Amino acid sequence: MRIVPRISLPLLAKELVEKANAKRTYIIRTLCAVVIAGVFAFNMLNYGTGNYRGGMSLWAMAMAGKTLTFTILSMITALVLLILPSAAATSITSEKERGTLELLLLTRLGPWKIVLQKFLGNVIPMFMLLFLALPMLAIAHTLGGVDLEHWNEVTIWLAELPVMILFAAAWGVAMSAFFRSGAAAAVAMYIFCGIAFWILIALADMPRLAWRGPGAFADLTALGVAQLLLVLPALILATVFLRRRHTPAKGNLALRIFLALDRFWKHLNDKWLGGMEIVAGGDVPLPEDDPVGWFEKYKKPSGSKSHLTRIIMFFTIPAVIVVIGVFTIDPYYQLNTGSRLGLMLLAHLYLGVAALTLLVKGVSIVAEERRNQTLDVLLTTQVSAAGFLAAKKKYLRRLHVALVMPPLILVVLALVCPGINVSKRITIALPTIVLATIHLTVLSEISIWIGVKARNHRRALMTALAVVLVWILAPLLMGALVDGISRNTELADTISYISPLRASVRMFSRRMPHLGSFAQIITCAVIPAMAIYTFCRIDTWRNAEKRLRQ
Amino acid sequence: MNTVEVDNLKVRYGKVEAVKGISFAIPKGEVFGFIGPNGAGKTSTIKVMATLIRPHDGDVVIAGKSVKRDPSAVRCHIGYLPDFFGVYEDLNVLEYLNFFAAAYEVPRDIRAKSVGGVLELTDLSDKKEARVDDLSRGMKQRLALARLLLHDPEVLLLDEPASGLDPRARIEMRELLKELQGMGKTILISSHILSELAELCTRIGIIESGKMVAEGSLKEIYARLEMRKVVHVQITNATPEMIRKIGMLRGVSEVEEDVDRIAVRLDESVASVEDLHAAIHSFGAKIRMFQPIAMDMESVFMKLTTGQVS
Repeated sequence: MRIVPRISLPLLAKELVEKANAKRTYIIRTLCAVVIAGVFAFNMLNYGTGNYRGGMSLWAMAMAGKTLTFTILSMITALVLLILPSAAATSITSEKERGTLELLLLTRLGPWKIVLQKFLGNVIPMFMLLFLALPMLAIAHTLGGVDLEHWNEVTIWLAELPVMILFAAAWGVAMSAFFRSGAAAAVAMYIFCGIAFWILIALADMPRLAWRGPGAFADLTALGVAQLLLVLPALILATVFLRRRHTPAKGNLALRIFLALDRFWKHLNDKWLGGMEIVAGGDVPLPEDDPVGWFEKYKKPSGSKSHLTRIIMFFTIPAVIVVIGVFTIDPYYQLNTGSRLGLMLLAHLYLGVAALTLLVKGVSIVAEERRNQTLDVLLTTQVSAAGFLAAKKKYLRRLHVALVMPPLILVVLALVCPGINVSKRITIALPTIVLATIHLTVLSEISIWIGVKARNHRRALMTALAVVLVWILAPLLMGALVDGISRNTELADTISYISPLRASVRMFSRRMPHLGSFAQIITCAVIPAMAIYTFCRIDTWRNAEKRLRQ
Repeated sequence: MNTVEVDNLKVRYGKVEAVKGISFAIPKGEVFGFIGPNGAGKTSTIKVMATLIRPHDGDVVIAGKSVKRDPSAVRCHIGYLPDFFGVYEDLNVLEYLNFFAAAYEVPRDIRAKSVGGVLELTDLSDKKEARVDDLSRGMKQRLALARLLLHDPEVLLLDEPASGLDPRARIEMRELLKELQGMGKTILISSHILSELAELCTRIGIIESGKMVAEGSLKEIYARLEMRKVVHVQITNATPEMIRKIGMLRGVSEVEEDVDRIAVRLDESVASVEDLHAAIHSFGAKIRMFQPIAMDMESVFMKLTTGQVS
């Protein structure tokens, strides 16, 4: 008689087999290994330059060991936070989009088992990634340099990493069960991760933390416990969502909210103002010369001016109200550096949302038509592939403008406040606006390029995210490598400014860079970005017919 | 004169050769049935004809225009119905048809007339305000047919038009196709419902593993395969002796006894169906039903194909 019941996890087995069969699994693992090995080699090289008599000094060895340990831990954390949210957030939505979730629910698995197996299907590969780095960590440890105080940090960080994986996987699966499309779930998950980690870190008294210092141990423990406690509720929520929201996407959630608000305002208008006509409405005309453009304009939320206005208002009004409120209460109040920094951070959060939205919309241009099975039919008409893309892009640009407006308004708000001189306002605001516009335009073009190339929406989304990741991280690593090998800081800086993150962080560093430095940042950020933009644009147009007619 | 000419067409997906040099022609006004097992290369061939895939080798000429050299001109002459129905959410029938009328560049002054005409032809005039997504599958398929007729193409490429339809919708679709045939359209139709193809098609092509295994009129293919016509006969006073006599008749190769009828295999080159009827009647048989099956296409299909995919 069997005392321990045999555990059957067919969905987990399928997930792991699918992952094992997919090329991207090996590409991601190899890339991760290369990055970690690169960091390792760079650190050894960096501290090895202080050697004498052909060998490494004990001090250099210890420094290398300490730096390596923390760098590898940071790298793994970054990789987990970048890969896991999108992978977990698309795990159930992909079943919804393929129409296989309902079939799964008809089996004896049940929602709870489905959620659990999807959760494990995301956790196990991440743990594999973690194990990949352990030999490197062991070597780094043997070099020494991690004293008792830091050893506590390392231990707790190593314990925190699996907890973080469990947390992100559980909430990713919950998002995936809630949302009906993978793109919406992935975007929501990245925003959620940003907010959740910010809240958790704030709760854990992050100002003291900074990954070292006497409070670190307790703070990290608190952070870990808080995350661990939130894993089970996430899985329960996922089960509830799975029962109620197992059908594929039907319309747009944001649009439904806005339409409900419209109905509410209309009700108030009818009741209190007797149905006064505030904005002249009109019937949707029939399409004339540009059917794709007509569809985007009248049948897609992102094409309608009122919806774009709603987006701008939704993001801008709360921040504007806060600033106006502050000035109304105390007209002599000058927004101090902290408040200004807060506004700037919010602007950057909005820019992040804009970037993610544009990325998803860009990759979806073609994938959406393929999913609706309308592309083939459309391409047998007189609409050319290039014409189709041009019409789609025109309306994506309108969304682009609407998404960029709120962060730019915030940047202007932060800089028009008293307490900062005119020249600094110009030197900060202008490059910020230029950089944001250029980076988002390039991002939009990259995502369209990938969307046109890829056959599958999920793959397109993941590839686009990976490309953005490389765009952000590769220049940083290259810069660090150049600095380590040649000690040429200027060249290293120049290379690192190719990364949008580095360029934008440099803009807002406490020690404001002088005008020449701004020019350097803009040049370094703009030239490669424009090169990428040009390549993507030309390649998309040249191969549009071939790639769309596949 | 041939409206469609497929010449040594080859289609490749990476290393897989889906279509391995097929050739056939469809004269103007004919209905060509394209038959083959799943994965045989039917959809790939139709997609090349619809300018959606570039051929690896060979060419397709439609109304004198090559899909390789002048795909845009070819699109003016074709109407393509894929084996799925693409849905544009939130469009009603009128908007959907006007959307495609604009896409086909139907002149604005005749657009309303064209849309009205195809709605009437497909019997959807009273559904023009209905949302496309809310239509039944049969209606969606009729709407898809209406869509491809908007620019009055000479050639209709229909990939599995009756797939997934209920019997009523299938009959409606068949009647609609007959009407289009009567309007002089050249139609290429791929289907798995072989009996329906038999009723509609003037010629058929059977494709397997990317190769055309047979092509011609059904009569020609029957003759080549030495196929016999099947006649179902219900006789109320049938006796074993009478059935034995029928089996001995000239041109009859086999008589299969069923619960309520007999199936007589007849070689029409030896004896006609009318001769068979007269002979059975002369045996004193009280005939309740005498039904020559138009074509036993399933048998042709099974005889010619082995179920391999390319």
